Amino acid sequence: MKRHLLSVADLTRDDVERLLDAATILETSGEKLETLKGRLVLNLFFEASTRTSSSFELAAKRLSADTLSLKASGSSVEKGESLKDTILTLGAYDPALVVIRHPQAGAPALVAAHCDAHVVNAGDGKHQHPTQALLDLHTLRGAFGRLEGLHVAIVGDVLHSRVARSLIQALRLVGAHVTVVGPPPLLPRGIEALGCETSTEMDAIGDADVVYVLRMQRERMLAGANYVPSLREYTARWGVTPERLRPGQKVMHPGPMNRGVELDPRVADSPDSLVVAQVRSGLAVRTAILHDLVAAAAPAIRAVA
Amino acid sequence: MLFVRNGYSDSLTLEGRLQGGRCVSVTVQNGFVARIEPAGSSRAVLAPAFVDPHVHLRTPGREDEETIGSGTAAAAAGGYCAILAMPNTEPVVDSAEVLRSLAASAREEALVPVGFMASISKGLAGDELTEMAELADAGAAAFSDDGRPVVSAGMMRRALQYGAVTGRKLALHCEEPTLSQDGQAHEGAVAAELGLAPYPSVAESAMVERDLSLAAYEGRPLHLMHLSARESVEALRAAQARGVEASAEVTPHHLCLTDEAVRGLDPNLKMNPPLRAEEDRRALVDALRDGTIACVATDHAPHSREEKEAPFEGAPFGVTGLETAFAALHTHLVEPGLLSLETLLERMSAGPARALGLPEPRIEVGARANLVLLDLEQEWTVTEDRFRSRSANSWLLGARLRGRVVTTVADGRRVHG
Repeated sequence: MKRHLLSVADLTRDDVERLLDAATILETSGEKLETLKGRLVLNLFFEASTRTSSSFELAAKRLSADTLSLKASGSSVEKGESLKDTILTLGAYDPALVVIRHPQAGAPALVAAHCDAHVVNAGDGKHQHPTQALLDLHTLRGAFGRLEGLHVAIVGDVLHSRVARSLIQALRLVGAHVTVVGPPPLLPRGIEALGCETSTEMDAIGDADVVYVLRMQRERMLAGANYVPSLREYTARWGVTPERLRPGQKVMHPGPMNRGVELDPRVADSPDSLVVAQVRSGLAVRTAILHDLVAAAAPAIRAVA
Repeated sequence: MLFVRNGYSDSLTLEGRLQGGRCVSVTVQNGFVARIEPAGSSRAVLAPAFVDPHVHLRTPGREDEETIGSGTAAAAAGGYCAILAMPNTEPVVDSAEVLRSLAASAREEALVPVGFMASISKGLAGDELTEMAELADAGAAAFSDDGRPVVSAGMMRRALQYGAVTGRKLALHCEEPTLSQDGQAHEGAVAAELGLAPYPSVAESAMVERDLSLAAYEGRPLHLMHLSARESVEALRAAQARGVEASAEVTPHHLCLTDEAVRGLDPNLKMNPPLRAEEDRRALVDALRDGTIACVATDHAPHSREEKEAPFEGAPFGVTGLETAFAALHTHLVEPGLLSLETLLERMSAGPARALGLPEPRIEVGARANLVLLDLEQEWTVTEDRFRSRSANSWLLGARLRGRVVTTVADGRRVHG
């Protein structure tokens, strides 16, 4: 793997397979590893997060790291400290890894330019969320036993979704087929260039092995922007309900979900929902990623687990 | 009206090849061209110095980013003998008092003659006309709300009507804000992939079409700034064919780059309007070649280091350009055969001078000396320490360019080389 994980574009197919194999081993053995013993992992979360921040924290601990977690609120960021100065300051503690989530695209690259640590992008703006894409691949491989040839329909607010962008790229990397479905204003012009098909009709999910439901990101909707007339109309037309799914069709969601908006609660709680498996994958995959980034010289997970 | 540091005139001799191939020795005495005599072969090219109709000098208000002194020194290094400064300063150049104080500073500091545009609307707010007649009398070179469009069509129409009494042009930043919204990059595959808020071409071209319609209806000239989209060029060409007196400018970065360059999320590739698609870039080059767009303008927009050392989405729009414009266009357009040297030199000198009603730099006996000597073969690397500008937010940092400004003579003085 490259020095940093800033984007899915930093990964090769071999990287993906090695990381998912390592994650599988980590899931079955609860053993703690010493990869990062005596080393520091910085978790910088400039945007709200439950799943991502908690799983990175646990992943670092599983690798015996010391961890330092910082949020924008309560830090010097509130006093107007620039990201560059924040990272120069924290870089003085000589972290082995910096995990960063930031509301602006390009923040992880800036961090990588100003410190010696390996940098992991935990979500920047609407740009990338590569570790989410990897944990989703891991979940899919667990459920289907393969990735090549799978058909995934991604439904919802693609325009504002870093999850969608990263996932489309990752699925294409491993030979899966992707269709994105949503209201026309929420499908970015030019998204086909990533190698996916697009549709505005829910009929398009019919052939998919998996329906990946995106959060309807109300906090990113500009007031009066009119991407959709109302959430009510969105739900009626694009909500994922039992009636719109085939029996056995799997459903995923990156969380946090708006029950009853993009996803019917009956679907969320059905046995075909992989949502909890995604969270579980998150810990194993992020552990594998942290290990892999620092462990070029250290033993592979296969050897130590 | 242009303002420059009071003082002296130079006497000197420059030798070089004129367009057409004739090698001459030009003798300047007391600032005027005294003799043009045949000379032996020369590898340097001698041309009328350049005119930049679109520069941000950041003065008053952001003298940490640029001053009249540093900006005109950068212009001198770039081969310019005249530049026009934009009025979106703090305070805005919307009163004769501000304009007069700038003119007074320029008489102290300006290495190269500089003209100041005044704003169309008070405070660039877009709802009240400035006292345009008084501003013109005080020396306003033209009127512009650059950085912002004149959003209201009614206000734009009044500016065209009333502006007639000033004898100056309106220079327009064309952007329909409800279409550009908080756009960060050209709407297309690159923005879709990077997840940057899209700024569609139609946000520019819809405003270009509106303004051309108003200009046609009022029978008034206008100047369209920093065009970026193919559709804007098509609208301009059609309007010119109908007899609308519209001129336009294009920047070196829009001529040399496409939105592919944004993939690295380097804040020095973030500007408004954004870099667009290859078909847009080609349309701009074609328009510059055929004269639909008659001016190269740098839109030199200095920004402080701390403002640009931010994630792409958090950084301000704008890049510098005065010191690299010729070399960039020579390297990217002339050398690959996309544009002749003759056309480039015309679009950087006489073209902008005509469009904004400034004196055309000429190499002729009796004329005030405004000359640039160019070495087309010299290769150089763009580095921060060479800039005379106070800011270094160049899209060319680290780039290797071919072609260099050796000497600049502006208003009868040797200001560079």
